[in-house]
Amino acid sequence: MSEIKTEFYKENAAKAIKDPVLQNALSDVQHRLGPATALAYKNLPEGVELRQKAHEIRQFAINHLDILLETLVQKIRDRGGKVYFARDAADATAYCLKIARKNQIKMVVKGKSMVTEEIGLNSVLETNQVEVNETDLGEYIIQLAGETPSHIIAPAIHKTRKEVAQLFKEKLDIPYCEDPPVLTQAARKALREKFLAADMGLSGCNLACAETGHITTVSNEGNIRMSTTMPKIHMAFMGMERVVARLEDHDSLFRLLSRGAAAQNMAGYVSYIGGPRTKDQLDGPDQFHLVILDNGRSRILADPEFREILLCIRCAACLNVCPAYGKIGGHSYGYPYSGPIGAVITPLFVGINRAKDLCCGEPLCGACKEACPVDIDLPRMLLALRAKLADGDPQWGVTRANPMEKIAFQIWSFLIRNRRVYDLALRAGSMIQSLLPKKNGMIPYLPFVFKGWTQSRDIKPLAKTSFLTQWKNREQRP
Amino acid sequence: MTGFKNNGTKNTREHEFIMTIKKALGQSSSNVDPELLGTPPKDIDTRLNAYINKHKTHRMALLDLFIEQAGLLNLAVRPVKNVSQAGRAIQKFIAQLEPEWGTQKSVIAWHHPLIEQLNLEKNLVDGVTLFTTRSSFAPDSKERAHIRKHLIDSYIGITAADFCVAGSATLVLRTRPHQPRAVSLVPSIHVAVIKLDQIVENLSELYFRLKWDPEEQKIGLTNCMTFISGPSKTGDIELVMVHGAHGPRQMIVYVITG
Repeated sequence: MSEIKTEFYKENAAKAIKDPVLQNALSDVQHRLGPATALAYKNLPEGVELRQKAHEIRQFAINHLDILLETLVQKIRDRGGKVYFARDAADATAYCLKIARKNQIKMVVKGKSMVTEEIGLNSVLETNQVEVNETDLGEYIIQLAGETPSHIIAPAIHKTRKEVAQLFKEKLDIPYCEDPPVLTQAARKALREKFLAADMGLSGCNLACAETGHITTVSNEGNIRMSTTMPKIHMAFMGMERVVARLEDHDSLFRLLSRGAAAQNMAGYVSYIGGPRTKDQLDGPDQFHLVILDNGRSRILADPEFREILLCIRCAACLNVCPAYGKIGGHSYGYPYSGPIGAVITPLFVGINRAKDLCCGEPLCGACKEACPVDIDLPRMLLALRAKLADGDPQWGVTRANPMEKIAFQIWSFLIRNRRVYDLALRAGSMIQSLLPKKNGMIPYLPFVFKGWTQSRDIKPLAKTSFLTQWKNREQRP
Repeated sequence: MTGFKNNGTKNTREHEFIMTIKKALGQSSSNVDPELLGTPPKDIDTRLNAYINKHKTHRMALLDLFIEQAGLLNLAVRPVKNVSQAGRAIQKFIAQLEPEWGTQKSVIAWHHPLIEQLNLEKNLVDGVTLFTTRSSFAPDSKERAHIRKHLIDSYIGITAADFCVAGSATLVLRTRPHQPRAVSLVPSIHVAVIKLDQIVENLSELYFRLKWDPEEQKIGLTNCMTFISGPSKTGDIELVMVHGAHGPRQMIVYVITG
């Protein structure tokens, strides 16, 4: 399991907002990628409507997940691939470790994969004396720095070139240099040795195709091709929802994924992998393992309210437009998935109460839905999570986040439906407020449970006479 | 390629996993008509015919589209009239470029009919070694290690391709005997040679042909089909685009138009 730090959302968000370097980096990412993706959608021959078509493709796949997985698995096994169904994180990491031990693996190279972050694979391997090398440049940087990804596709986006230069000087023993091409070349050199020496390559899976029996991996750097071609064993980890039915479904999905992730027409490398090396081939891994992971996904699948989140293809387009992510960054979310997708899926994975601040912190502005390449209604699900927190939900084991809030709203509801009592309350309020300190005719501080309302603004005092009374008085004038 | 099976499961772990999904779906999707998942379109022959028998002017227009898209990706495209012109151009290219690692100029090339026609062995510049990936029927670990060593030592890898998607400047390479996939990956420079009629317009055409052309069906997608759109790149340091992350840092495609 990945370490869960969702309880520290508010603290970490407050720290992030005060970090000028991070603020610069986030602003840069959002200003560059957000509008570029929107433009890329607009320039599609089919226009932005292609997102709805992709939504339907993914919806169809999710609704037929059982049969599609069985078909995929059968075809991979026919080519000599091994498939393992893992119920949860512990199950998946144990299988990986078992295969690593069986083949006496000392060192692995790894392509960027969010699902392996989710199951905490690296720490399991490392505590069992298997050296893990992240090979995506961003992942490599944060691994050297001992940090976690802060963005789904640009994991080291919170690091400046100065920080990377210092890091590489210390860890790779090269002269200090802030030039990205020089730094990239240093990583290329260091990792090339690892690629050629590793016994096992690990990867995630972007999409799978049931009809042909392939998983697909996508990268721009070529590190995933290296990890899945050079070592003797390739093990791929796939969230069970990643499969689609037909080959032609990949047409719209890859074009949208590339645009959503990096405003590209097409990612640099896409590989369809369907099994190990055949005996007449000169390269490729001798063993191919596919680990299909549930880890809470079947529970989401069973709930019609949240099933839609399984359509997600993890492109990170929603992060690049989200005003909350743009200020608090990925680490505040306390789990590998950040931004709007993290705010929905993390509570469903780790517990809605435990991660309540994530779904409450998003502003419901709708930007994420518009940026989503498969048109997922993230705001709807953020609201659904909040409703569960307000009312409790035995099915998800949710207790009311704030029982007092419910009582307060019940009182409010009673008040506004009874005019006389409401007027009475208004008069009482206007008397009480005369005791409060004033600043330029505004109330800068409210006591007790109301203090949150004045945390970052002053509040206007209640009018001496209510609007209705004023209206009546106006009518009585000649 | 169609036909979705819903056979019994292999073991209880898998059975439980799938049953959990079925229960979550609240329906047995195994009753779904398999036709629903892969109904052959009615116009297969017409579409295939239109795709395969394009007019020369249409093909040249696709080449222009490929060149335009490749330009955005730092991918060089060189149209040549015939195979021997391609061969001479590649030899000149090799003569001009220096290796990234070490000083030895080693080149590795697929054992492939089109590459063979380039006649690269003849008139190679002094000091350049060329290795072709011809192998036995079932190469053992020793043979594979030998080729791997050549591969790692090479600074230029030469391959053919199955298709080229003009709309996104994407080469499509399938894995076959004698044609290791790492030739397009490990050397610093990837040189590919294709023929004009291998260019398709977009992914839609590519997938249609892979799926419905009887010739393509025979080959299938193989156990590894790779799409390559330009040289390796990264933007992971402050979103600055750098070419040559882990794969080739330079890529050039010769298109034989004759």
